[in-house]
Amino acid sequence: MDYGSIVPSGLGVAEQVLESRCRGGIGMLVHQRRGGSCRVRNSPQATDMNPLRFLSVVLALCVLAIALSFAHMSVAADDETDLSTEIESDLNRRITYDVSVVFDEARYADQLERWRSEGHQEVRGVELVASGREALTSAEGQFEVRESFEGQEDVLLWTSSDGWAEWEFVIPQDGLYSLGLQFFPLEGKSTIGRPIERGFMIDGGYPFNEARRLVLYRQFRDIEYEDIGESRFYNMGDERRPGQEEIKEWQSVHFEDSYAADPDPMLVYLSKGNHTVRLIGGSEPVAISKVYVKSREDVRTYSDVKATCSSIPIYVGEDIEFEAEITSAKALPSLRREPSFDPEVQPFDPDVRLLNTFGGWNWRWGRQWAEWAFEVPEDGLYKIGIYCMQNTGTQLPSYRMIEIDGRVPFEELKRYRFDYSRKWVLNVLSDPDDNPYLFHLTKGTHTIRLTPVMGPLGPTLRAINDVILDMSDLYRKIIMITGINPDLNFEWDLEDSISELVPSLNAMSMRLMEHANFIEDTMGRRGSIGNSLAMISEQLSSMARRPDTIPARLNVLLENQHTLSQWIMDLRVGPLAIDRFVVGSPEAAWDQPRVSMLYKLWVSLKRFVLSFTKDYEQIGNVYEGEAAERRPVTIWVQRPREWVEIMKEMIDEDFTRNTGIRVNVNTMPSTMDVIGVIKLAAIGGKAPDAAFGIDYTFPVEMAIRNAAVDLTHMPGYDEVVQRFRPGALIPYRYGGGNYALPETQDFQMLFYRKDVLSELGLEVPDTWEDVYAMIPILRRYNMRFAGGAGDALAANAGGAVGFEVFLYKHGGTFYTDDNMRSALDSPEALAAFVEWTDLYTKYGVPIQANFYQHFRTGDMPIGLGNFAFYVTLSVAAPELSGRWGMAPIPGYRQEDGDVARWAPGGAGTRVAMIFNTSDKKEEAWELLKWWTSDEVQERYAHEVESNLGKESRWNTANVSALQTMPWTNEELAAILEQWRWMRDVPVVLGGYMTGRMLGFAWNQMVVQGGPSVTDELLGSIKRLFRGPYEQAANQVTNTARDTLEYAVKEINKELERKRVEFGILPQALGE
Amino acid sequence: MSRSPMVPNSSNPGSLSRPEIVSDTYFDRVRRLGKEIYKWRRSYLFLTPFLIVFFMFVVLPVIQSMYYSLTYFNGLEPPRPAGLDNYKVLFLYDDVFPTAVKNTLVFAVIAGPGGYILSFLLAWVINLVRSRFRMWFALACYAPSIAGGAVALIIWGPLFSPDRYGYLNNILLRIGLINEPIPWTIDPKYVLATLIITQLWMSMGTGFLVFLAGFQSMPTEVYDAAKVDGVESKWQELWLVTIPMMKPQMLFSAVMSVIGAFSAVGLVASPMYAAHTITSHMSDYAFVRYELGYASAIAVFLFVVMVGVNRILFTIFSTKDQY
Repeated sequence: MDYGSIVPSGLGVAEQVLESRCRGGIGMLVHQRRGGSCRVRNSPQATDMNPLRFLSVVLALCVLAIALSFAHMSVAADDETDLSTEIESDLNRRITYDVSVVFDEARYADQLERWRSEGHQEVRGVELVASGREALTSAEGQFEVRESFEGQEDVLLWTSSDGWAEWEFVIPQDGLYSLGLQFFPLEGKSTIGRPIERGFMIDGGYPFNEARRLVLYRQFRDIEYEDIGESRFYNMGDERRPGQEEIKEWQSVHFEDSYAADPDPMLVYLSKGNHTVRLIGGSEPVAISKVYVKSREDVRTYSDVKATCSSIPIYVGEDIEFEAEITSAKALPSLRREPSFDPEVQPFDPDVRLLNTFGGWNWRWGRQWAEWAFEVPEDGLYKIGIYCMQNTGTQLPSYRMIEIDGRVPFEELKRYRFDYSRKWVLNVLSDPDDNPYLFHLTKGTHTIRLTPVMGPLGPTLRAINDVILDMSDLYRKIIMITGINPDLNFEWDLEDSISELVPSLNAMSMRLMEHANFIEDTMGRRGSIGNSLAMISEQLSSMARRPDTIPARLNVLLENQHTLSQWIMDLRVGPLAIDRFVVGSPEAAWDQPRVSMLYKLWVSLKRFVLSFTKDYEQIGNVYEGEAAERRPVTIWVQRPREWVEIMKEMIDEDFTRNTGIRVNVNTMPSTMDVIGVIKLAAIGGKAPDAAFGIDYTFPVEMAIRNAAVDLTHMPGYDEVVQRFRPGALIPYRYGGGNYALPETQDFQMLFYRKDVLSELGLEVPDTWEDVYAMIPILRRYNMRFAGGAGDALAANAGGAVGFEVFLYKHGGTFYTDDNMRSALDSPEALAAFVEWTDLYTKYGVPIQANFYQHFRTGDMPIGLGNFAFYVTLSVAAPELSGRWGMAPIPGYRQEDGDVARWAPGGAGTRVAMIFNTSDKKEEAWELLKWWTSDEVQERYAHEVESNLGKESRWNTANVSALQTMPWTNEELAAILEQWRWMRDVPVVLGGYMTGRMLGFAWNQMVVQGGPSVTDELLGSIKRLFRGPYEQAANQVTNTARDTLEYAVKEINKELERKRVEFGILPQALGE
Repeated sequence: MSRSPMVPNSSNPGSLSRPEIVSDTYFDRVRRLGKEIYKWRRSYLFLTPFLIVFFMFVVLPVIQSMYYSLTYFNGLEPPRPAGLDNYKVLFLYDDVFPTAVKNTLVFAVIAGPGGYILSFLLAWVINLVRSRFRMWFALACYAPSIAGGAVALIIWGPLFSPDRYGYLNNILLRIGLINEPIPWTIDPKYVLATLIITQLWMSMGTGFLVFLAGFQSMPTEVYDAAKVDGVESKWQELWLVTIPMMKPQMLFSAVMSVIGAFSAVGLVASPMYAAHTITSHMSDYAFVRYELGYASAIAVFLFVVMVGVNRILFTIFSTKDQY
């Protein structure tokens, strides 16, 4: 049953044939060596596709291709036929939105334990090397073997990000081996230095889950402004962030887990004989010269190292200090200089923003190393101190692996601990008894590298993850019997129906308690996390003792899940800010950084006074007092300050440098009434030339009032709009003009819990008919479908979210072709309205519910959500990672077999526009063009995400930039499929009434038919006195037709009123 | 023009006993006024800062919005005179306006006196608390009004959440009073009531503080005297001594709470306009439709109503017969 959507690309048909034929084979993995013509699939469901059905699919595709070219969609208004054009995509893997689960794969730690318990030992003294030439590669993907490349011989160039390459090794003896490779980063499509990602398989299978993601970091360094002859400071005194430059050189790396749960390279068990190591494409191209299979290097303990150094003299002399903000190399451009306003930091200036520290919250993810170079004057033993602070997040310590000159000097530095502190401290690298470690350094230059690694609580993290999943499984099983709000007067006898109830509760409780104790052992005290685990453990065991109390305590289970997943997030990260390093004599006495209270007070006072004079809304270089012709372009951006800062930096460093057009950027608070502000500014002659980040309904409102520039006639408009989905531009169109370009694009998707659906034997619905078939099954298990779409408040807010889907499904439109009248009085609209409201009245989709919470607990395992929902889910629900998926929203099958999923973008869309009052229209247009271009959007998306976290993902409206963002292939395919069907609602004069009236109509049909308190309280008594006729009469007055007709009347009234206001029809006011 | 409204006769100790007016020519009266003004010229100097600020931030906006109410004004283009059209449409053609007036009246009648009585009782109760803790109780009661609408939404949102997890729904379901969660914020039947309850909570503002201050400034001798005269319980004390002594504070509070209730921001485009107050009608036109002239007309209407209501309050709570 291939219910997944097959992206019908014209060229793809032939490939489809081959692919499907191959499916008939052995299923899971069909692979062929070079020159083959078949693709890797892992769709077990595909195997039972019969030839007839297959033929029909091919036929359907052909029909579709013809149909598309003939554009016969009757739903079309003027140019809708081209709305669903194909999206050009590198993504040639077809995705089925299956619920088959990959998360049961063993984790590395468990797998390693299993191998060890089977008696396998780490091998000693083995090193097998294979060159790039020896690789066997897949058919897809681009490979090339070079005799010599960048100083290495026999290099395999892997210039695409897909396909695979395989090496064969003859293993001399059974045992545990580590793997490694030597690589050279190739210029990728990504302009922002995304790390190279691959996965690896041993003998055709992933040995453990972590093998799916192998990250090969590129190396970067700051370009000092002095070196390129520019000023390090903006003209207002703030320091500029340096540009980034990639260091291209060969790197040898081990295969390590990307989270750094274990600082050591990963081990793999290989028996004696032939084995293959295969690298699987992920992202970015790479050149590979060697692949290793070898035994892991030993790192000696400090006492061993110390013993060998006894003859080396102690260094006595001046301390060597170096600033941490000046790195010599680092893994990502986003690890960067950060400003600190603490007077303890060096250098410090209370008046301006100096970039005087390194790292902080940005520097929290495992393996993202940074390196510093320093010079020592003579041979000898030194001690090393780090001025640092870990004051972010919960009060857990952060850990770093410390390497000197590319090696970990001794075991203790593999996971060195930096405790939580609220102020800057000097951390002298020393043993647990505070005796400083001595380092033997020779005269000359050395490097010190700090790599974030996870603390020793990795096992706890895994345990918590397991417990959360068990807990939600159990919760779901319970509510399948009791419902979400159990009748407490009923005796449920849960332990009879769920046999594993008590054992499972006990097991979870024991596991948590075990780890509370483990924390106490490793960290010296339980701390908040240990106490929290112990408390939850206690609650679980009390539930196990009294299972009859469980229905009354269902909420406890939910709250505990929430608490635990919060700990997962906290345990995974280890932020650390560093001010400077000091290297010096072991005998030197170093002080903690101290600044007198008085000075601190003075600094805060000064900054307070400054806040009155300094204009914090202006960012970066500020151009003032210029003659009119040299006046800079002024833009207002309605985004948080951090976002605007990044934007301004990019404008200064790229746009202004290349075009000479200078730009002043101001922030605009998001709660501000934009029209009011811009009006006031216009009166004062300070109106901006353009505005960014504004609501998508705003440009047409401005255009109606003759205040927006029609972009259609700007040079290059036709090329620029190619960057967006045609259907996404509808809301900016008015009277034949186009008044804005979208920056971000909201979209609706179908979210589903893979684990729950597969447990219930359900499939991801492709059409609404599938949904209607699925809902009764969900209801049987006390679960519900989340219509998210019909949220009445959202509907009232102006978008009528959810109704569009049904309106387009039935072929209706919101307005007549001239946008003059509401078209909701059509039979199609009525049918859509009935289907929409039926979803709530007949299918029991909840009127309003916190989908996110219910999705996590699993009692709403499937439903519609938007981009913000995706972000929330992937950021705040770590325990669910890999257990949920995202598919295009359900649609309806067209005559040609394709599933049409027309849907609008959504209210999260933000746009940029130019104002009519501007005398810099061309320059502003240049800026708009530059800003929406592929490279700039990609870079901005990356900068924002890496600086502000995944929760700040930039949902760009630029189709090709979207594809460069770190989506998984499955997610990207789903989004692209949905974007094919993007069709926004036009913004018309008085159009807000449409959303409002639809909300009212929905309310009348869905809510008013619902229960009232008096009905509930006096229900039975009242019912005695109310005959069947009365009940029926009650229904009749609320027919869909009446309701909708009333809505249309009101909408038309408002549309006409507004038209009269703006003189579009010559009619007298109000008569 | 007989006397300038700006001459604060009663607040000026020197002018308490004015001479009898005997002459009646218009010219004489003007001259006397001029003299009078000249006599008190220094007082005017001290009044000036207040008057300037009062004029700029109170009088001017009122005048301005009266002017706009007679124009067509969309916020971007300069206003065009429109005569009384806005008022004509408001009173004769606007279907939603009567709903807004009705809702506002319901709101004012329940939330105004309700908030008033509530803040009086709370202030009284807190006043009885030992002084060491009094401040904290006072803070707890005053905090909601500082917090403002956004916080109210966060606090009351979960309480009135329309699904089964809303506190109120959950409790009612648990007790067994209802079988299905009630969409408090969606169902037009309950929206207004929900809003009124929230408003009551938030109305514990200035009025409450004034009451509290009033209670505390009450001279203890009066209570002693009352005890001698035979007052026995706290209730008697409250009714016979405290309330009569607190008329000024009560007037002030009453004015504040009525103003609060009338200007309560309902919800713009609430379900079926069920919580559509005059203020929401105003912001609907001002910020959704950008018809600022029309919105000004609504504002002027609201202004007139509030002035009228305050006149009534002044007569009820007038302090003339006291002391």
